[in-house]
Amino acid sequence: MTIRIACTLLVLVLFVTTGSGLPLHPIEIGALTEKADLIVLGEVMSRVREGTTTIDMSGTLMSAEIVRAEIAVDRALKGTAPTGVISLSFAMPDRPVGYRDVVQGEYRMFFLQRKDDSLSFADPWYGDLPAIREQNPVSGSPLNQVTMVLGRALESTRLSDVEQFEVLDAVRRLHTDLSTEILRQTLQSASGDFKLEVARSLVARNDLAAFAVVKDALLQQTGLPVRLVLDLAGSLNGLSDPRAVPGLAKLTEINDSAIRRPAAEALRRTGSQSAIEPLSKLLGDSEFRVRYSAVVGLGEITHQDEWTPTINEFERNEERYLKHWRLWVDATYK
Amino acid sequence: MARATASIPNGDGGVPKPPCRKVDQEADAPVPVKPVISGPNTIWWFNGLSLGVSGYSTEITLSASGSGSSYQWSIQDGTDKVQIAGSGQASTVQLSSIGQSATANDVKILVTIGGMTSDPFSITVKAPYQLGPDPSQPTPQYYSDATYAWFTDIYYSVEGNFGVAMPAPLSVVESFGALVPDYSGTNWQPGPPQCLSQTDPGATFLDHIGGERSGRIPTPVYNTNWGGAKVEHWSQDWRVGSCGGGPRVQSDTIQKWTDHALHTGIVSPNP
Repeated sequence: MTIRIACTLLVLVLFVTTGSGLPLHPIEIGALTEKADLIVLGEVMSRVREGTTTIDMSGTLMSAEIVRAEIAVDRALKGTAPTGVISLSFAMPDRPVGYRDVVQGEYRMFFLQRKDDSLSFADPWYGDLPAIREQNPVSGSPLNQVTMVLGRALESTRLSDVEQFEVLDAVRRLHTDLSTEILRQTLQSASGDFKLEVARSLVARNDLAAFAVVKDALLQQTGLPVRLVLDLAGSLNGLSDPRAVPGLAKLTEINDSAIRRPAAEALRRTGSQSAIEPLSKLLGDSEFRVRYSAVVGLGEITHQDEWTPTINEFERNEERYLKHWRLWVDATYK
Repeated sequence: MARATASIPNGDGGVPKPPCRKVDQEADAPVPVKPVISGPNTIWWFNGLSLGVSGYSTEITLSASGSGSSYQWSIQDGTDKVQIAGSGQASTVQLSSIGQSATANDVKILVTIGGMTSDPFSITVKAPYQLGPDPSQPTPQYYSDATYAWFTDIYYSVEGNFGVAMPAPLSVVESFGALVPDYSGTNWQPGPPQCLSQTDPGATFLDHIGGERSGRIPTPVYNTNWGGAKVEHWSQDWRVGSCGGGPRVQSDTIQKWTDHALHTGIVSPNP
């Protein structure tokens, strides 16, 4: 049976933001699932331009296309399960504001909202995500079903690099037990650079399960693209598990401030007594931010509040703080 | 304790003195108790944003417990960082921020009740300070787009004055300087500056920068080698706390090429 949901858009007025350089929040699958009236898996059968309209974007009027797409629905993860084809209407502004468009033939998971008699994206920037066509249905709450669909997409070899990033970014920013489990399972089965991408996703969530993978990659770095090295190093900014101290200490010995900086910051965040020694070795580091992490970390761990400066205060009186901590380290450990 | 119930030698000629009752009087009197202050140890400073920032306390209330009915609150250290609202003569006191800390717990609050003064109660005035990397996506993400050729997403985390990510979502607003064309005859369409009313819970956000529609000059192209010509650039300031303004946490230049965009000349912090 074909269900068609009427789409009549004479004038489309959206109160949204735009810009060439537009601040957005990263994708939040939990909020998106909550907001959507209908979440379906399906293929884009057609995309047609139905006319033009004007969009009011925070007071700036902007012309836009009215687009109508038809989706052949496999099944619904939330809302009444339509079978057959549904119509989806949305605006595509002339300027590059990052709205999601659809491409005929794509198979996706669509997060939709009903408005009057028509369906549109629940979020114009994050209205759909890659999915794979398969027979086995998922069950549970809508969020669990969405997460499972993303997990299966992560395991698939059928996604492009960009699609893989979309899915991985959605899963790693979802802080649930199921998403953690999916990332850990994917880490076990993945290989090459993708394995490192998954590993850094877990480390950024303070998950120690993947720290060894990231640490070893940063210590060796053989053949890794520069961007991946920076992403691996940057993921350490999410780490605070005290069990990582020995590995982090090794990373602070690397002759690359892009790695020492987040490693030192992670040592600080552990708040562990075992971090005192590696932090004290960084008081003489060539990088300002590494020295700051050492000083503020030592201050926080030993509760010497008056010697725990803000960044600005440290910048103004750096020698005073370094002198104190050098003397303290000498008196305490020598 | 043995009570003095009979005459006792007093060392001054044996003249007995009345039984001493002093010890009993002290034992029966209420023992003065040092007042204790309780309340939050953190207050936030957003350069005096008058409407406050949801999720961040720029005013806090402290309570005192102790024996007595006369209260006097005072600021021992940090009069340039917090101020007391009202007379400070009640069992609770409201503090508001007027500056930020230099070191942890450098604001000290006292309360005196019935002549007894509390130990100092320590407070840190935290403040948004700079943009740092988003641990989940430290480098810009670049991808193709069917309508606008490409997008470059640049991710950030809003950090406080101790270099730690802000603990709750907050507004992020950008402002632009004048557009400077780099490509002769370009008709790319820059949009107006925008406000994000709320970052994600980890205070992270992204600057979502797109290419152009294919009919524009020059034609945008998706090219992972990033060898395209410069198209245009303009300066950008980032402020946090309110869509109407707030502390500046970064300045940079948005540079667009035919095949990508980046933030260049980043200055963060830049209060």
